[in-house]
Amino acid sequence: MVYRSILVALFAIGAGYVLLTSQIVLDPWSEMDAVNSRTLPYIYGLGLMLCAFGLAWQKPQKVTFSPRLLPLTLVCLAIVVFIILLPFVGLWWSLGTLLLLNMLLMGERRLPILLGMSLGVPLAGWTLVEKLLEMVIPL
Amino acid sequence: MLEGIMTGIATALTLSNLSWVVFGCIAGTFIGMIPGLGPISAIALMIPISYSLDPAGGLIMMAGVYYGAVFGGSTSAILINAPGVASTVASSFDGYPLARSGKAGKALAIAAYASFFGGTFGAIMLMFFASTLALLALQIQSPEYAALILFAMTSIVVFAQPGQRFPSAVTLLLGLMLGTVGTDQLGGVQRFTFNQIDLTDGIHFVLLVMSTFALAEAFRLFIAQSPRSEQKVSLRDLKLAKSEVRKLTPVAGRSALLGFVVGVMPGAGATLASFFAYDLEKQIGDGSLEAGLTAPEAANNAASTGSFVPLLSLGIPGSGTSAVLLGVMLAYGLQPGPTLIVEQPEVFWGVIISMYVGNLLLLLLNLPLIPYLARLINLPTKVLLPLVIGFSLIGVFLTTFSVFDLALMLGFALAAGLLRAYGFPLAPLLLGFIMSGLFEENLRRALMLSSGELSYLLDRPITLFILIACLLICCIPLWNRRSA
Repeated sequence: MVYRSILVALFAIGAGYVLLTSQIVLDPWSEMDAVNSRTLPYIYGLGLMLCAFGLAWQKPQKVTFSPRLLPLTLVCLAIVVFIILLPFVGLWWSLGTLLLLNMLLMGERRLPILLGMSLGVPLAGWTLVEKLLEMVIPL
Repeated sequence: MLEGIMTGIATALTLSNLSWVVFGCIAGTFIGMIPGLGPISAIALMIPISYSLDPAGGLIMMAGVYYGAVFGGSTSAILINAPGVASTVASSFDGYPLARSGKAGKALAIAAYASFFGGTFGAIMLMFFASTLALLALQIQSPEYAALILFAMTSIVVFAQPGQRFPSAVTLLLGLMLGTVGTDQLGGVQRFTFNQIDLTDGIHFVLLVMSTFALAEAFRLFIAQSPRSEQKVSLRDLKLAKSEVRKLTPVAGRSALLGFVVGVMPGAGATLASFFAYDLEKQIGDGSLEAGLTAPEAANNAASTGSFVPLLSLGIPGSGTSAVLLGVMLAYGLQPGPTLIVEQPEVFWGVIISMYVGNLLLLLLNLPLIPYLARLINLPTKVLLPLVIGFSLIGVFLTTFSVFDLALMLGFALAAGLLRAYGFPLAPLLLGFIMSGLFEENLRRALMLSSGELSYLLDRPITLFILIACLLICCIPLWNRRSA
């Protein structure tokens, strides 16, 4: 079921891509070219549609892991929190929060490790990036 | 060539570059040992560090990371039967049973020696073939480049495992499509940007690598139960008997030669080389577990080096890893190809000599460390995976400084994880992404030269030869099916 949905999604991506390609505005000179800004995208999009269609006749490969959606969703949420926090609290505090959340999600409960990693790694990063390499982070 | 080698030695053996290759070997070994993180992820994670170095130092460090990660990947394949990357799968066939039979130290030592042999053999071959191919490549212009890239893309699909050709074609096409996002360099028009200013320069290569490999792998490990190892290895286990050395040297020799030849072919890569070598050894060898481990290890290291031939001399990545390296080189403003050897001899020869040095250092550093390195596998994943996720996100953010790119990265990682779970290989995605711009640019330039006449491509003998080769390799699957 999921495999079929992937194939449908791939076919739709190909079709959408071809549609977007047809909307690329060309200047009159390029339009006359044998290969212009649209040509290869057309081929790629149509190729993807054909391959997705061709895969429908192939036996799907056995899935190599049992998807556990809840942990994955929580990890993604932790990353979303990191992205949202980034402009407000800066890179290193966001990183510390991300590490802390992910370790908690993974089941780490030892306070020294939780604090050591979520404070130590951002501190090391800040020292390396902003102090030693003198990079300026534009936030 | 001798002058080039001397330049390379002078570049590679400076204290700073030597330190970076040592650092690269160690870092690569550690990252490569983590199941799921292979050479591509290791190099991707090191990209932000490499940007702070000069081009020669950065590429030399990357060569060390590459070798280290290839070797490190074999360790987890052998000890816990968890090959982190496809190229070490064949090593686990005989390596894991050898380790389970109480010979874990010996298995790791064989892998280390065979990797050293294959890598050194490949580096020597690279030294000769790279310069020869570079001279040949001087004759190659836009039409030939376009045909060569087409050949590489065809090889990726044709040489994929049976049953993997359509999935490889799908991910290759997705990579090509992603490569068209942004401002068209020749036409000057915006394509697939959705009026997003962050997309006008296209999708950043580091973003794609980090999301499809490092982050997607971390997600996969996060939701999967990784097998744990209780193996203990002592220094005494690492010694091989003379009779075994005599028996395994010819195995390593023929496998390294086969691996190098396969590695030079764009798109074939270390995975195919290791499978070929394993199959060959099972057919003509004595069938022992030791030989079955030596063959893929020697072959995949020689093939890894072999993939540098088209990269350095023609500017065409032969594998996913060399595609990442090509991205690094382009970011440095270097144009791999025939001009590199002339304009930047210290970079070209420095990288080649560093491969010798890297190989030697890898053996010297890692052999005594094997008992201790093996313990990394026992590190709690609940600490390791958050670090990998954090480093992936920081790697992208420090490269693009774009919050939008981080959101894009999350989306790509989820999509890549799903595709991978259903058997779609992701290396062709990277190859397609890298080749997309190069292919379009060279094809359109060639047609501009010929005033749009496609027949111009067929009038050039090298182009015609490559296009015929493309058609011929397309017949290989049909031929194989008929033979079977």
